[in-house]
Amino acid sequence: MWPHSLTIGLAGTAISIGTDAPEVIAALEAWRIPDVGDPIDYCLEVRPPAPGAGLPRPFPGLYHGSTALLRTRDISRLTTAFRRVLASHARPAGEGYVRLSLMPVARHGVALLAPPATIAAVPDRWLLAEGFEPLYTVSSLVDPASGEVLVDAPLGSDEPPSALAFGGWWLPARHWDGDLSPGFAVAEAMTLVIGVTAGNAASTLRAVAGLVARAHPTLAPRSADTVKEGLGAVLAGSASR
Amino acid sequence: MNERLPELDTATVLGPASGVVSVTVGDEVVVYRVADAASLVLNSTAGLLWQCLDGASPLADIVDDIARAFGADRADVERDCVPMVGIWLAENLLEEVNGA
Repeated sequence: MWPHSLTIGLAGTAISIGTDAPEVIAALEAWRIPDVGDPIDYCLEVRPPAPGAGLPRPFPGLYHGSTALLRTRDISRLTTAFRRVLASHARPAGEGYVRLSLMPVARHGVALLAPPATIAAVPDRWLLAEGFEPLYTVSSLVDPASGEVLVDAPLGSDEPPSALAFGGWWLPARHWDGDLSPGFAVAEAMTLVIGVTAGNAASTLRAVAGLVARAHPTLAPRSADTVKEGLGAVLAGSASR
Repeated sequence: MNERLPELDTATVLGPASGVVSVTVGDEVVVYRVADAASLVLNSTAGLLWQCLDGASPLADIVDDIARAFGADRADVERDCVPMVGIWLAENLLEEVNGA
């Protein structure tokens, strides 16, 4: 149970937030709505309790349900990530765009889209030290026509969304390995699209097929070591683009 | 999947059900049903049959066309195609088109 909590409404979505930081609640008062039955929930732990003697101090963290999206001592990065996550809910994909439940990892202006849980397996410090910029969030907006990933500005920010070149994507690892045919890649990717309706299904399916044609996705690596190798391999050539 | 397939009259005109869309990807066709966010990937042969189910042509005409195009025996084509169409109909991927 968090000492501070509230429910906010963003683009018709109810989001429940629990935190140990009253300033986080104060900053989100403008979006407060009455509590509802089944909201999406996030937790932001800024000041984790001190452990017993001799135990390492836990990192502050951002959590979606029981999944850790980011753990870092850098509170500024943590709150920025949290506000970016909230902004992702506030900005549904418009006509011609696709919102995928993947997060960007960028280098030199090129983004790889990956499952948040895959990237969470690798320490944030390692990613930064290797020159990767993980943009922790729960979904990414993609413009299939231009091949750009439009990074949401943090909620409440006046910054415009920034654009990165779409350099590739990893789909959540399933119970099988191996290559996906283009058709199966489209089918798998459709499970990651947020906000598919009868009205936009045809254009969304075409857009996802276009993304698969632009960059064929692969299944995400399963271990931290293979994630590290994979990031290096996918984004290695980005310096020369 | 439904255990009993619906009886299918080959004079029936069928098209994608409401909320079902498809796209051709290489030699495959991906069929997507919005209601449960389910996808079905069809190989080139099944994909061709799917694309022929355009809500305008009776199934019998489609069987004729496929048999002619592939130089195949019409009865064999019907025996292959009709059960598949029956499954798609049972899975609510197709619907009858009235007044076509």
